[in-house]
Amino acid sequence: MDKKLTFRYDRQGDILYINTCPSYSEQESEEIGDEIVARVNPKTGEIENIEVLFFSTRLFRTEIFDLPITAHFAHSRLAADRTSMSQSGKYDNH
Amino acid sequence: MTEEREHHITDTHPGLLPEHIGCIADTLADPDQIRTSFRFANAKMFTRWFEGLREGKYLVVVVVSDGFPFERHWIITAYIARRLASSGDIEWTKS
Repeated sequence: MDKKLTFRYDRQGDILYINTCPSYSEQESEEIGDEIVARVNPKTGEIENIEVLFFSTRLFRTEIFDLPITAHFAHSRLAADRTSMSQSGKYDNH
Repeated sequence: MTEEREHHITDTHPGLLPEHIGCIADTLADPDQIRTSFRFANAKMFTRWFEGLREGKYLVVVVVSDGFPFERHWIITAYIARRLASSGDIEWTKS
């Protein structure tokens, strides 16, 4: 099942955290470029947390703020509605 | 390191503190490499390889230096890394 993203900004350290789950000690960390750290699931290799250092300095630049990751967005309520409609047969004719 | 940062690192990088606080001190005192941030010139990333740290890992300590209103150098975060990226300008490398 897809996980929800949560964002947390550490104002003191100027670090943005993008999380799919709370950090845990078994995770592996690695730098993925542009002063961004990823925390990775040790079994699946999936990135679970992203740590963007010096976040505010990126906002004042004209270039696009580009994370070196790929993403797929899905609205949790719309996805649930879609599943429900599919199960009730309302979605079968589309 | 401030108590607030200590809590922050414990929260965001579980497994690092308090067990490896000595590694943080050793990294700052005797780093393998110091990088200056591309993004924030007042920040330096101190890095050192530890053979016995989680079967061999880097420890990175990010330090910001302020000159105003008074001079201070403070740790904003620290993490154990299995891989480093070519982030920052290499300012100094241990010979």
